[in-house]
Amino acid sequence: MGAVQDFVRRYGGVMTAYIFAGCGIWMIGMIVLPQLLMLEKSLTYSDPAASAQVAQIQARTDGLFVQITRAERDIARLQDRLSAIEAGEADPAAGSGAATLLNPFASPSQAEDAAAATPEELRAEIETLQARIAEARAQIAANDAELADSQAAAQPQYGLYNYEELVENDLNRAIFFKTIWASVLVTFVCLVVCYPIAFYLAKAAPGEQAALLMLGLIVPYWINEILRTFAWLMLLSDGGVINDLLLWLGVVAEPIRWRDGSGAVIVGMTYAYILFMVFPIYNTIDTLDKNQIEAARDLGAPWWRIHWRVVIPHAKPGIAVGCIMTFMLAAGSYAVPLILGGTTSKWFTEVIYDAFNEGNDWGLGSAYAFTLLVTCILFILAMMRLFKVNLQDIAK
Amino acid sequence: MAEATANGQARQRPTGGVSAETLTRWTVNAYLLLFFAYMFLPLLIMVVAAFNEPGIPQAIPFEGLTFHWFEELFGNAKIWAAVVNSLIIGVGVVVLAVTFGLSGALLLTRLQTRGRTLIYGVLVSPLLTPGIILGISTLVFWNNLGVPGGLFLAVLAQATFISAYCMLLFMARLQRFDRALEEAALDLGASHQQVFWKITLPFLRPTIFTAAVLAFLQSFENFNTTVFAIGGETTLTIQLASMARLSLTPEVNALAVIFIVITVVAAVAFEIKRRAEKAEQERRIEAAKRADAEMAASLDATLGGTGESLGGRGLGPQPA
Repeated sequence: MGAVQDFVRRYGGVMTAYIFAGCGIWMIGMIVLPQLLMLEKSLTYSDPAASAQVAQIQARTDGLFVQITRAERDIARLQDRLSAIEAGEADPAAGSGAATLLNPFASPSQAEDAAAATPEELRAEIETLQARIAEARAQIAANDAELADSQAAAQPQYGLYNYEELVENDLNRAIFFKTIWASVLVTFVCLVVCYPIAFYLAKAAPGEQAALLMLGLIVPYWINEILRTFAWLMLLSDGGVINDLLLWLGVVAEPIRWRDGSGAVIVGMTYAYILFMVFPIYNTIDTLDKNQIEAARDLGAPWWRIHWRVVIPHAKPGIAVGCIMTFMLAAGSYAVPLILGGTTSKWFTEVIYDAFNEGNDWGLGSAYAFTLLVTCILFILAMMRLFKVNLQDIAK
Repeated sequence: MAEATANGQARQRPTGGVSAETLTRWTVNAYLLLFFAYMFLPLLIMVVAAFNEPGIPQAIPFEGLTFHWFEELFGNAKIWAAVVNSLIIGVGVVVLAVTFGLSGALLLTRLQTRGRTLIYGVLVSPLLTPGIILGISTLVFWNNLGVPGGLFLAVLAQATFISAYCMLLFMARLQRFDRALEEAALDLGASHQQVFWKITLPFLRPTIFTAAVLAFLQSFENFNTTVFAIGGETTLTIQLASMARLSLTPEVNALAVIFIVITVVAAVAFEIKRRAEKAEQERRIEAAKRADAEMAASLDATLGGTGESLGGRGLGPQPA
């Protein structure tokens, strides 16, 4: 409470209210509670057999209601005819049998009564139909009782069922591990490619050139990942630039199907997320005092030792951030596999999307999503330990 | 990694000879050239295809210059509906993200208790969370309250992490804020509202502008978070993704060109502004240092021997 008083003294009541309300809504209402609810959802499941049974019973009841409606309509029609006949008119339906042949959807009772009927016949007919309606109603009542039981069994309940499903589903589990593995690969390739660039820009490039090269990095950095992915689709598709080139050069006889397997997705991701590695590393190397490098060199250290003992230790927070961002973006990427992926290169994010939008199983989808979240958190913790940095360093 | 340092190293070590230096230079240049070709060639191919005649996206062979695909794009009603949605979401996100971001920055800048690290961690965590998770958790949370996916949820889901970007911008700015100004104004009898409107807000104004632009661009480009929270609606980026996926006609390339032009203009403008701010900042630090030195010198002159210790302690603003 001391903190609140401090804020009131400093900013006054209105501003303090804004500060605390703003942070409260954002932190609790938009970050913490939604995550907790997602976790809760992931632990909720309905017995699939019971759910199927509920759907089945409901379908049966619906069918009975249709039958009742149809029978009631027939009864009304029969009663019309009955009253017409009793009033001494000719049976209005007589002779309309030909018309029923043209109407295959007509109910059987209509066809039967195409010929002129006596009032007794019509009354008997009505009674049969009424008996049928009563029977259907009894059936519905029975169904309702059964439905209540099934619904109770299908009630969402807490348990690890959704997580077990991920462990037991060979296909999805394989996709999960492939996603992790491929994301680590993308991260590693980005790191190896970017470190020299970042170092050169921060320490070796002459001023003018460095400014120009920086702009050359900033522009693609700002370009949407979907566009960067689509650019690679134009390169890698069957009729794409690379295949055209290879065909023209006579290297291959027919187009190579680059998009089979996960190769294209990995290449596209490396391209889409590489700049998230450059800038954090550049920013940390930029703050390194050049004299340290000079000193190491004067003392006779070879280039690789300068990097290993001077530059890389200083750049650790940047490398950690770059790796975390790249991994997180790759593992959580939905756009790249969606656009570049073929039939055999499903990503874990696509599995999650399908669980929500095709399977309509939100519990399962939440469980998959939460698994992805935990994976990313573990990766962050691993990076923080590996590079001995803390959260303050990371979120700069 | 070799080429980058060895460049300077060869200079220092004559034993390598001139040829080694030239070799290093060539390696560095080749690496840079390769890297930037890798960065820009795919984009170039995509852009070229937007102006090419054939009915499918294709860069080579170039069969004739046309603006037909832009016309098609502008005649596409779906695109315009998506643009409107994107703009609505963007404005909503700007309002929320600046509001939340500023409140977070003010809280964290001032808060000194042990809970600060925890709050900081929670508030920046959305930046380290995959976008789809933010979309899903928002969707699940609001669905529980009976709100289905749509523009509203897209705004909330995006604001969750874009607020954190804004907060970091505000925090960086507030770090340079001289709190003595606020204290002086309060001491002189200004009300809290006056202090905020006349001192704090004017100081933050450039950052509010920057944060708003950044928030809008982030929102406009977002796909991963939006695709889960948007329900049956669509935004320009979602439209772009579905067009890119099917890539039936070069309309998608025309849309890509428009996206690129907007981003390049925004990126360059943003960068120019950032540099100007940085230069301004450095100029101020220089001026402060000069003033400090002058003051110390004049103190030295008037106080003689004792002035040294006073000047050394640095009366006046401390050089950063």
